Amino acid sequence: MHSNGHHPIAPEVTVSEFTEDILQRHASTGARYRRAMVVFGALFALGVVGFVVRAVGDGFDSRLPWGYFAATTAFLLTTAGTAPVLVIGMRAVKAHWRRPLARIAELYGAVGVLVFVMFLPLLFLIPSAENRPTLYFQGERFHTLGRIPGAPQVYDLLLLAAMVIAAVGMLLVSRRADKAVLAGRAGAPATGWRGTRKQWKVQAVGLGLLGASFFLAAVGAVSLFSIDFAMALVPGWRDAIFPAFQMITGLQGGLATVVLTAFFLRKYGHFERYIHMENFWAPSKIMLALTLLWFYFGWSGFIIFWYGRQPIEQNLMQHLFFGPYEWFFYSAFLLCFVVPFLTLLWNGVRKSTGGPALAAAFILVGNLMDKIRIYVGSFAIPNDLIAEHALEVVPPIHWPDVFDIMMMVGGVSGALFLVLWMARRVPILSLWEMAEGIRLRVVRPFLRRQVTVLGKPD
Amino acid sequence: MAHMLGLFKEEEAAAAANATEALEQAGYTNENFEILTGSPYPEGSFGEREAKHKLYVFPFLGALLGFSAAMLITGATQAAYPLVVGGKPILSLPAMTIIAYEGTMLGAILFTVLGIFFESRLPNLNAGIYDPRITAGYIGITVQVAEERVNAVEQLFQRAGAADVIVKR
Repeated sequence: MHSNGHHPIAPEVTVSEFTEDILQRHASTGARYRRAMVVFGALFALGVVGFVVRAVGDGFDSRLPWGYFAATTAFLLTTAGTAPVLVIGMRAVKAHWRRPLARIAELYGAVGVLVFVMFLPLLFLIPSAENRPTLYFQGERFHTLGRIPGAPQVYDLLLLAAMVIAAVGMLLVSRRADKAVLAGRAGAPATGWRGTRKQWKVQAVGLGLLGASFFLAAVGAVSLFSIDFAMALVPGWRDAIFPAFQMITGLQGGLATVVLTAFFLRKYGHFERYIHMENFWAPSKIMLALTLLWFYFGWSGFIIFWYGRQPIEQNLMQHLFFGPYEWFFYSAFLLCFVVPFLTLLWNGVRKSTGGPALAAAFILVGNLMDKIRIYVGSFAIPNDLIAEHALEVVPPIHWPDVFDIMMMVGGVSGALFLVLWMARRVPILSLWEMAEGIRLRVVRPFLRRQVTVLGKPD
Repeated sequence: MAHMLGLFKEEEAAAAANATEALEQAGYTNENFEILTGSPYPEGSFGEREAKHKLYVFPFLGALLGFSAAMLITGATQAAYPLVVGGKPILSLPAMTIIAYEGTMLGAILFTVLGIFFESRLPNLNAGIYDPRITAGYIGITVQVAEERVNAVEQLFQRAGAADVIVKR
């Protein structure tokens, strides 16, 4: 059987081979893994120090010193926070290639807890919705006597909480069966999980329901965050497309996070036997589509200001695109659209493990640039100006100081530390989901080559 | 009554399917026996009936409660300040939409999580007969039998190819 230049089909593996191998790897922690945990843990601690120094030194009266912290929170929300979306969609359409990526995406759900904690201090930095143009339009200025209590903070908090509960819920539900396997090997008593047909059925349906709920909550949380912590803080910025654009960056960033993690896991964790080229090829097509959507939504928002060119929009364009943060805008445009598009355009690049991972790395850096442009710029507007009709003066660029850098590096490291820590508690590849797939896959000869045959029970 | 567990090796999954058939021929119905596996098999692989559950009810109930609570908060807030603005109704729905959406989502998610645990009967420290080999890939078939039929069912499991049969009285 020869391949004639075709990509070789991944050989079959049995469920017991796979389970034993993963359990063996799970039982021991390599030196490199421990080093990574120590480094990320130390950097996270450094970020906490940066946060404490900033809080003690600057307090929460002015938003300006917290711009980079807000940008980091938004970056984590739209990358690690939205990563579970991939597994939700692919489970819904019963895509087999999702299996090795599913647990990676679920593990990032735990980062939602960190995002939630980082989000709490930000609530003290924005004023109430009273007498300023927000989604709530309340106060004497808008001729309303009625008040929606706690707006906007309480409602931002509720939706983010819903998103985090759904993400953590998915992780917990998915890990129960694997936890039973780990407990069984350790000789620990089962706590109720027996693997009955009903329990498997409830798990499948539950993951579907939680997944759908997570997606709906994530769309709302990312949209509200972008409205209340960016758009509503800049006078004259009214853009109905911006929240949707931010969600697109979230889907793109979430997918890029999973693909890049899978690449590192395959290369440095030596999971080549289970994470194959097709596990990069398939999501790379979605990544290409999301890259095009990034441009479409970004352009749709931009073109309104560009053609409108009203005095109110001129300064806004300077503030958001061509003014003090222009290099952040150009970097985001280049790294989130131009480079991934020109890279993923070629099937040869998509049909590899390194190509999609490289595009994912560019996307993540671009996402961070985009968040700095948006949130640092928005946080530079003082409270007494945010309710004005238009942005009269474009504030100068606010460069990060050493504590900003500590918080940014610490935030990202904290997310990675959390994922590494969780991966010690639950196998990095889902035992039950992979086993289910292994049983349904066989490799058979077909004329002069080999093909994969997949069973589809539903 | 005795609880019995027939254990079948993973590579002999067909033997487990044969055992459920033999159990049915011996007069036991789908309600009498239970299949236990360490990872999911396609539904009906062992000839069992579709597992029934009521999980779909939970998110709907949660969504309904969350939605009602949100409408109550926003409606009561507007009713507390009954001022007509621009000819618009006192109870203005657009102003209630975001909070209603949030209440609905939060209620649905919380009830789904609760529903999963309730429908899976977890945690349950006295869940019945079990063997840790199931987590290593073995397929278990549990059945509740009358004392006088223990030997017959044990032979039935063994004839079908069980690797082990456990009886708990």
